[in-house]
Amino acid sequence: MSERWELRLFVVGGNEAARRASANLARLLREYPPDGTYRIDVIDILEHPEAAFEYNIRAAPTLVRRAPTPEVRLIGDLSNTALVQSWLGLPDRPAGPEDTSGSR
Amino acid sequence: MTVKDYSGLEPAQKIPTGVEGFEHITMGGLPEGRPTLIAGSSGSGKTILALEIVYRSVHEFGRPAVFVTLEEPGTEIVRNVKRMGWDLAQLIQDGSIILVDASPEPIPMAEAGAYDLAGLLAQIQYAVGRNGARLVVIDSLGSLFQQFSDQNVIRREIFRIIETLRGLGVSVLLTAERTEEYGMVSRFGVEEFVSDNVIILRNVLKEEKVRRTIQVLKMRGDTHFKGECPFTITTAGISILPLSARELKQSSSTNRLSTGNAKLDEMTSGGLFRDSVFLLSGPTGGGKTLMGTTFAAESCRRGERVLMLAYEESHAQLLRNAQSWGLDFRGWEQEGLLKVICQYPEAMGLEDHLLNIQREILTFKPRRLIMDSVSAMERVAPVRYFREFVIGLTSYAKEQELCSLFTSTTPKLSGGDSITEAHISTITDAIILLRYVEINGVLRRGIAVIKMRGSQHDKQVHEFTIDSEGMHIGKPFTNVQNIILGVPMAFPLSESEQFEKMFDQ
Repeated sequence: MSERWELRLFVVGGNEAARRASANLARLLREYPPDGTYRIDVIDILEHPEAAFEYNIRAAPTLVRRAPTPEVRLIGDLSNTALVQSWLGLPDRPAGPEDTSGSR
Repeated sequence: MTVKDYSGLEPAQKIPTGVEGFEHITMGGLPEGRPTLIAGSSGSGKTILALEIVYRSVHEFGRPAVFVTLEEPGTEIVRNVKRMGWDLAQLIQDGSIILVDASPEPIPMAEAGAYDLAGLLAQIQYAVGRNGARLVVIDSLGSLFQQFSDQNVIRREIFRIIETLRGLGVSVLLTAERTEEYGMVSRFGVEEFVSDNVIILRNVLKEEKVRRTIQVLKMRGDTHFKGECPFTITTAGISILPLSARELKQSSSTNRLSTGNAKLDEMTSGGLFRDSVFLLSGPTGGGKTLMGTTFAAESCRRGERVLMLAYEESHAQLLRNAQSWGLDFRGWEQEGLLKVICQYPEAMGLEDHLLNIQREILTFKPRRLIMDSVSAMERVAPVRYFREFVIGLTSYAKEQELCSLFTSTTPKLSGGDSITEAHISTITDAIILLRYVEINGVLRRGIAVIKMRGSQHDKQVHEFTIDSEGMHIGKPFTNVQNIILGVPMAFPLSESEQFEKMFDQ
């Protein structure tokens, strides 16, 4: 089943945790690409505090999987690969070399 | 060597909260621009106090505020204070209160690596920037420790949030849970972040009575009251009764009011001072209620309002008694001169009784107050609270310049000590004793004024009688000792001599 994935990553722009979280997320999606298309919005909560207010973001970084529903949240720099993988519902097996293009 | 210039430093300012009694115990209110911790066990009223301060800040003082809820959902917060008549929804709507709802959501969440609470801080800063709040409430800190697993990170982040707000010059009110009433200041030791100002709320069950108290544990660089003060939560909000804070002053008035009995006025050298409290002690059936009734009638005859609090008799009974002495209580009630409130002492806690009495005094504005009997209150609370209650009531009555009569029932027919007298006799301005006196097998009644501050008074024990007309005070007993102690003893005279000399001629 092909789905459209919507991910939002709330970070403090430019700090170490933000860089690690972005890198970890990119690597995960490259290695375990979800079935379907995906879109990632990285939101700097210092620049857009109203977004933190609207989504009730307390911890940073926070990754929000808006779609597919139900919504799931992960906090931290996403260094725990196995946990992120299972919570987001990414495939168990790494994709083959031909499948590392990211967004499709 | 250069010396840093401290000369421009101002003393810490306080901002009034509008919460009844709060300014009194903190001597001015919340420290401005600094954090204050409110710690209390579950159900001790932390959230209500914090909400009332926020509500009044906006509603009474026009100062916008931010309320950060980390535990209860925002909808619950708004709903809970509806019964107080506080329309938070409206104030949130117009932006004067910003509610940061950071309560746990039913969204699955996991921790997948290192994090901090920059999101929460960003939300709070955003809210403060939006409405220019000078007051931020965070309720409650303990909730963060339950929602996030890394305790060290949470501690560091709480510190960072508080310091950021301190840097903005915002007054911060933080609440924290306590696990026991007399122990560590708070769970998770959050008080170390806000060591300046700590307020403790308690909810103590003692002798089957719930008693709420508030104590200012510390307020850095400032004076405040040290003891625990009782408070109540009603539909009007929180009322703190700063009992120990009030200073008892002697009656300052030289105006005297008649007791309604000419002879007693004579014994007290002209009646009672206008703002004095007198205690009338006697055994059951000893004439206390009659004297109270006479005192009330005197007030009404002079066209002055009188408030009568009856804890031992019903309204109908009191009216009937007055009727039997030819006093038209019903008519005076209709004229608005007399207000009789009958209540069971057990109906509520002493703090609530005190609060109700204060409200009645405020609305009815009486000139005289009668409490029949104050000793009935003994049985509903431990002695210490009872004493605080009497001190609170006495000082309030004096502030309002009421002439008050408190009756006290002695446990034994012949008199003797009662808890009431032991604890409140030093507080009252005048004490009048009514006693049964047995002389040669005949029971007679005696009355004596044993204390009257700032005035001369008759020091003899007079005999009195009661009939359908009321109380008649006669001549002093002679040749009889120890009436007041309840063990009257005749001098060793012959029987005939005794009868001859029993009364002054």
